[in-house]
Amino acid sequence: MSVNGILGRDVPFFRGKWPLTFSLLAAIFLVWYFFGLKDEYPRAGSWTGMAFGFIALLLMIFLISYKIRKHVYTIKLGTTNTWLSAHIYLGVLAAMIAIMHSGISPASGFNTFLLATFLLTIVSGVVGGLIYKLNPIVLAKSGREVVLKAQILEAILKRWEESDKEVEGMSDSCKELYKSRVKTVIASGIRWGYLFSTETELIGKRKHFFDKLKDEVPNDEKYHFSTVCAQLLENERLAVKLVKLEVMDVWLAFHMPLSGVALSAVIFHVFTVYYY
Amino acid sequence: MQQILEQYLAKVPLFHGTDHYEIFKLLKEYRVQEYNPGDYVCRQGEYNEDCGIVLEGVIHVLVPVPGTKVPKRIPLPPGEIFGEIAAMTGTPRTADVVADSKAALLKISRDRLFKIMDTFPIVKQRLDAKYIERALATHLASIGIFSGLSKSFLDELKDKVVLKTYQKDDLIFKQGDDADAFYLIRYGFVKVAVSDGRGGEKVVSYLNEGSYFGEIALLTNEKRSATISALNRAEIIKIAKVDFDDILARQPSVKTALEKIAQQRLDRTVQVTSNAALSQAITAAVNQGVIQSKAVLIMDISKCVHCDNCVKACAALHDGQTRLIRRGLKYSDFIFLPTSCRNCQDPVCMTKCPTGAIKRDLSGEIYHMDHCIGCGSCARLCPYGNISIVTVVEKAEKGRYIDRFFFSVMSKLKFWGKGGAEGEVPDGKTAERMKFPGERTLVERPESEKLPGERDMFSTSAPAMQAEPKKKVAKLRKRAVKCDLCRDYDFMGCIYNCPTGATRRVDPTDYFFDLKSAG
Repeated sequence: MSVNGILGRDVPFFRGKWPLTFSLLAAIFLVWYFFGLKDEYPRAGSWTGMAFGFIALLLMIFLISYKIRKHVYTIKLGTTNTWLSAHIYLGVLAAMIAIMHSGISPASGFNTFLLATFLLTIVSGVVGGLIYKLNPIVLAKSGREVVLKAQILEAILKRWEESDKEVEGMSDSCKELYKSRVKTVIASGIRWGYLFSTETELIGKRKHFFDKLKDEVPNDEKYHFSTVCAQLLENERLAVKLVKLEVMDVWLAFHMPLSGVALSAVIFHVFTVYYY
Repeated sequence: MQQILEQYLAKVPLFHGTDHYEIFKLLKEYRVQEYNPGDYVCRQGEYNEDCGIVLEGVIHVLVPVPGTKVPKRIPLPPGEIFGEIAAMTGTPRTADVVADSKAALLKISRDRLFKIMDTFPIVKQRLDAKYIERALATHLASIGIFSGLSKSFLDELKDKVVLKTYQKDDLIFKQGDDADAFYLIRYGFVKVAVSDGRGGEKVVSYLNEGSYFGEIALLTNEKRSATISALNRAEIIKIAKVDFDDILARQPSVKTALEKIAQQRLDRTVQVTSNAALSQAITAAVNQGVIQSKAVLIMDISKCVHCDNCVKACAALHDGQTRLIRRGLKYSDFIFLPTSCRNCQDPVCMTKCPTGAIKRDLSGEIYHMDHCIGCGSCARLCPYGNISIVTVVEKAEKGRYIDRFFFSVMSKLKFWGKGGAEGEVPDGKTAERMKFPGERTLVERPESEKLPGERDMFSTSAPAMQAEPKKKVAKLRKRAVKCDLCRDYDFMGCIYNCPTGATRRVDPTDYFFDLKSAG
C-alpha cells in the first residue's frame, strides 16, 4: 500500500470497522430501548433503565482504561490505535446509553450534574477527535519542513538569535526599531492569537507592517533591515503551526480532568443509588 | 581432525595448487554440518554470512525458473563450493539448497573466505570465474525478457561478459557518453540522474538487482541519456554492444520488450524533471539511502499527533533507552522517516566490529549481541546516525516495574508480550510476530523446516540470548544500541503503541515503488 505519489492523497474521514460496529450497536440499543416503550420512556428506575445504566457504567470503565492501555506498553490486548478507536466510538455510544438510562428526563440536581458532566466529557472527546484528525493533515499540507513541535521551537529561537546578531551591526535607530517594534510584534513562541489565522493571511499582514516600518529606516540600511524582516516572516509562519500543535495538548489537559470529574460523579451516583 | 580436513581440502578444486595446511590455519573458525536426505541447507531469501563446501554426499541447488513452479536442480558434488556469492556480497540466498543424500558440509565464514582469497589470489580468480558462470546463468534466467535465451548462447555469452564491482558513488557512465555496453545489475543499487543544466543533477529513479540499464542509447544509437552511479557496493554484468546486438538479432521479442521499457523510462524522466516536488522527493529518498534498506520505519505526518508514545514505548521496552528518535528525513508532505535502524541490505555498520558483536540473522535483521564493548565503530560507520552508544547497567531490569508486574501476574493468561521479566530468557522458540497491514515479513519458516543440528546462533529465535556465554561484566558499561525490531517481544513497540496508527515498518522497494524505473 502506498501514498498516491506525493502530489496528494485521499484521507477518508471514517475508516476501518468501528463506524459500522458503532452503527450496529447503536441500532441494537435503540431497538431495545424503544421496544420497552409503553406509556412513557423507560426511566432509570425501570429494569431497562437500570440495565442501560449498568452498561453505561461498564463502558465508562472501559473508556477510562484507555489511559492505562496507552501507558502500559506490553499489554497484548490490541494495539493502542484499536483502543483509541474503541475509546472514541464507544464513548459516543456510552453517551447515547446514558441519555436513554436517564429516561431522557433527568431527575434530581445531582443526577443532572452527572449526566451533564458525562455528556460534556463525551462532547469534548468528539471535539478532540476532530482536532486530532484534522490538525495533522492541515499542518502536514502547509509546508515541507518537519512539523515536530520541538523542532519548530528550535527553528524559531535560532532565527531570532541570527536576527539579533545581524541587527547588532546596524545603526542605533535600527536597533531601537527592531527592539521596540519588530520584537513586540513577531512571535518568539506560542501565540494563541494565531489559532484561527492562516499562514497566508498572517504573512500578508506582517509584510504590510514591515513595509511601513522600512520608511523609518535610514536608506543605506533599508536592504539589510528588509532581509532581517524577511527571515522573521518565516517565524510567523512557524508560529501559526506551533499554536495549532499546542491546541492538541491543551485539549488533552482539559479532557483528562473532565473525565476524572465525570468518573468521580458516576461512582458517587452508583454508591447513592445502591445504598440510599 | 586437522588431517581429515586437509584430506578433504585436497579434493576441493577451488584449493588445488594451494597449501592446504595454510588454508586450514586460515580457516580458524569453521563448522562441519551434517544433513539427512531431504534436509534444507538454506532457503532462498535468507541472509547468511557463511559459504559451504560439500565434503560428502550430494547437494542440489534449486534455482527458480520464471513461469514455472518446478525449479531447476543443479547438483553440487563433493568438493564444490556454494553460497560464496551471498557470503561475499552480503545478499540473501538466491536459491534453496537441499541435501539429497546424507551429506556433510564445511561452513566457512565470510571474513575467513576473504582472508583465503587475499592469501591465495588463484582462489580469488577461480571464484570470480565461477561467479560469472553462475551469476550470468542465474541472473539472465530470472529476467523475464531474457529467459528465452538458449543454453548454448548463454555459454557463448558468459565468456564475453565482464563482471565489474563498483563501490559507493562510483560512476558507471555519464550522460552524454558514447553507448558501448548494456548492463545488468547482479547486486546493489544504482542511481539514475540527469543534468539539471546548472552543473547539478536531478535524480530520476533508482534500479536494483534484477534490473538492467544502458538500453536506451543502444536502441536509439544516441549518446547516454542519463548518468548512472552506484549507490552502494554494486556488482554489474557488462555486455558489450556487439554482443547485445547479437542478443537482439537472435531474440526479436527482446528488442520489442526493451523498446517498450525504454520509452517508459524516457517518459518518466520527463515527468520527474518537470515536477520539482517529485524530483526533490526522489533525490532525497535515493541520496539518503532509504531504498537500500530492508525495513524502514515511516511516520505518516497526517496522522501523527506528536504524543511521543512511540518514543516512550521504545524506552520502556528497552531499559529506558529509546532507539527511536523522532527526527529525520521528510520524504513528502505526509511521509517522515525518523531515525531508526533500517536494516540496510548492505550494512556498513557490520564491517569493522572488533568483537563480532553485530550480527545479522537469517531474516536480515541486524542486532547487537550482549558482548558489545561500545567502541563506537558501528555508530561512526552508520551513515544515518541510527546507532547510539549508551551507558547501561549490567543486569538492567527489562522494562519498567509496572510492565514486569503485569507480565509476572498476567503472563499465565497469555495476554502479555514476552520480555519485561527480570532475568527471563526467551525459550528459544520464535514467537509469532503480530502482523500489521502492509508490514512485510522478511522470512517465514515453519518449525519443521528449521535447519537441523545447527548451532543456535544461526536460529531466528533470540540468538543473542542463547549464544551468550555467562561471564561477568562491569556494572556500568557502554554498548551500542539501535532498533532491533523489538526482537525480545512479540510486537514492535513503536508501531503497537501508536494511538493513531501513524507509524509503520515497510519494505521501501515495495512502499516507494514509484521511485523505481520501469523494467
